[in-house]
Amino acid sequence: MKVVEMISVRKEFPGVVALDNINFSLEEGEIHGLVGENGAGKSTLINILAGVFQQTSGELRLFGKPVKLSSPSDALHRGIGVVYQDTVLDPFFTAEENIWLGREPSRLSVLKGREIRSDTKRLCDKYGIVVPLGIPVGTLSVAKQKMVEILRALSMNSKVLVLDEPTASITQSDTDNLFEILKNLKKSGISIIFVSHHLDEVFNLCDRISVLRNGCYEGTFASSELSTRDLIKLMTNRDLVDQYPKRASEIGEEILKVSNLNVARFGLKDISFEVKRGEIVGFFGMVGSGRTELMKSIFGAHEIDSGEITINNEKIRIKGPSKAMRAGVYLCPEDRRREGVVQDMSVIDNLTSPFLGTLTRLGVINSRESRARAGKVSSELKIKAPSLKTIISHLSGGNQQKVVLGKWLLGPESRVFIFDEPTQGIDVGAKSEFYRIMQEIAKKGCGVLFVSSDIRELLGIADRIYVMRLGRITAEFKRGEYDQHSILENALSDSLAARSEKMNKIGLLFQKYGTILALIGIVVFFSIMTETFLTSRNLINILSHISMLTIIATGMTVCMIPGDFDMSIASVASLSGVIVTSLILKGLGVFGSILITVGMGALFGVIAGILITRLKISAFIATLALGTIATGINFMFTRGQEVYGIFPDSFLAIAQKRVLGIPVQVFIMAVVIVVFTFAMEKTKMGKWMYSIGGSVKASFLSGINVRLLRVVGNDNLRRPSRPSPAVF
Amino acid sequence: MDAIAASFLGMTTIKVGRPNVPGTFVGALIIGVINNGLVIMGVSYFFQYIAKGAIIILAVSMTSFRSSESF
Repeated sequence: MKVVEMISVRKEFPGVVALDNINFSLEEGEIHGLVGENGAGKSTLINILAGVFQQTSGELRLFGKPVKLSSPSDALHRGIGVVYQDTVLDPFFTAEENIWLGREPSRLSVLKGREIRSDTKRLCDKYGIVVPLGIPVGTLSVAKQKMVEILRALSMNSKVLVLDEPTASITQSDTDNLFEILKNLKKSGISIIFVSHHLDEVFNLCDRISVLRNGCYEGTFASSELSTRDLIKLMTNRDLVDQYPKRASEIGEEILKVSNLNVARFGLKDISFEVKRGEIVGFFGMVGSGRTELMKSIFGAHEIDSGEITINNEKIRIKGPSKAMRAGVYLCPEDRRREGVVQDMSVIDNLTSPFLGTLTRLGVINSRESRARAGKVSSELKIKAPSLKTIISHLSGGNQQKVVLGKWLLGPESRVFIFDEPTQGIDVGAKSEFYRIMQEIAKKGCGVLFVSSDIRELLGIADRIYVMRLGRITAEFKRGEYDQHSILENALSDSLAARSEKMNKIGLLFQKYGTILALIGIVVFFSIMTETFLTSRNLINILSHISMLTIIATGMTVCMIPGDFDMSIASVASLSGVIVTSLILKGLGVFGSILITVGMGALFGVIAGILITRLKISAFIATLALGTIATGINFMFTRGQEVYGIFPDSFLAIAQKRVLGIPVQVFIMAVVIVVFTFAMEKTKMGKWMYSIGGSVKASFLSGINVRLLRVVGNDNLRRPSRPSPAVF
Repeated sequence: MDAIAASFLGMTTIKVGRPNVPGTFVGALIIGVINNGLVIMGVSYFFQYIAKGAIIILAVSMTSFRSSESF
């Protein structure tokens, strides 16, 4: 039976046809490979299946029935689970919280912690996937995070599992483990769409393979009747004879020498190596071996404890990336989306940003010059973009990577290029193009450092390979003595992460309770300095003084949790005070007055919420304006004078009466703290608000109504302030 | 202003890096204790503002310094 069927599906974006005439079908219980170059439309296809985009025309059928998926949660409810290439988990939440985010078991919105845990265990057992529970996923390895995402995708009894580049940043053994799991899932009747740039993985795992090229469907083939070469030809429309181009580059004198480098924070120990002009030096190691940290240290992004870096026979203290850049050392970082490019800037702005100084006269950018230079680099590197003004996030991964490199090529004098996993998540054609580019850079007499966890590409193009493990260089191999097995052996071991985790624990504890320690310190200080500070009377006095502050600050905190901010807090609070007192003096009952005031606060909150979410005004501005309005109303009521009069006893009780020697205000504060802590930590609403603060995207993809909750956040804020003693 | 300060101070404890209600209470306590202590010590009120500001900067920078190590 066909589980998923796409018939002549077409998807247009403004100015671009991303997919055209796609006829794709997924059979029940098969693993279906989806391959294509960058920009071929794989992600768009997945996003249509995931309900993120809607097709412009054509038909999508699920289990034989035509559907139009309206949102990610709609797709999930219909049995399509998607694991995206970029991890979309909330790093502060545990595995179980992430898995059930958006549909937590609860009663009356109160989370059922035990049930969440047992549901997760059942889910893990059902699919034979093991993940650590109860700790924030941010501390897990990338591979384990993928497992959490797979579990989440399966948690709705999904029949279809879509995996976008799941192996892009995990090690070989984790990949094997993942494949084992996928094969088991297949046996239990789940159909899987598997997207990968590693063609051998696709052949190894998939029953059938569909090929996309330039947004068009090139056909579906049984993987047994296709060779790698055929497949590459289908994907790229050209014959790719050798993926790793041969070359003859002259190796010259030493250009970079690192001796006895130590960075204790990352466990880097006694690192010494050198790179010569024209040489491509590979660095192989598992994730966590310290290779990325080493490269960042050389680039000056991490401070080093000791050791020497010599560039072009000149000892240099690299303090910060700008110093490295001046020395001609450039880094193309591992995480190109976040560290390599500025996502919402254009191609040209990204290209020219590092050396903008050379393109300006008296601080004004010479736009003709910068266009000319960026254009030159862009055509040299064959960056595929509609124009230099295109926003970079619209480009495919491979083209973004070229921009990362291109911005360094605009530099005045280059000596050492560091590439950290440059080919991660880019397709075969673009990879081989990138190898060629690296070789050209080496040919110009630069030293090239090439970090990769794909041993084949290092064997293919590196002149020498250093192997790293646990922050040390464990072996060096020259071309000609390459031996895949011994390279792997030298790299394998428990990852560094496990060790540094322990080291971090004390630091984390300090971080967590440091502020409380500071509080204790201040209390001790005042107790010693003055006699009256540490008396029960004074301590109660402090509590009653801060009660109103705490109540208002709690409102502020609730507002900050989903990432908003409230500028109107003080004005609305004082307005509340004025209104509640005026109403009481006008003869309204105490209870009624407080109720009306609460309503007034809530109204301000709702207005702010609507302004922020519907009209998309920034929270800052919206609340600033509302605060000004509140101040105005305040003056209208009081005419600038204090409100005074005789209050009924029940109202005065709130401010003056004491129970067991403690003012009533303090009890109110305690209730507010308990209620809001409970609401934020133990209810669905609170969890969702936190998750919005963590990542709007993650939450949206979990099907949470982001808008509504931001409104709620602003709404909750308006606690009526109790009349401050100043009013009396 | 104290409310905002308390919320930010709260982000430095309990759930580090995230706004949280118990942390906010700790923040409010710190501000309350500083206010009260300085009054008892007879420190002039303008110096109280300076001290409060300095302590807030100190507390918040301590945590942001630690988290910046990991980028």
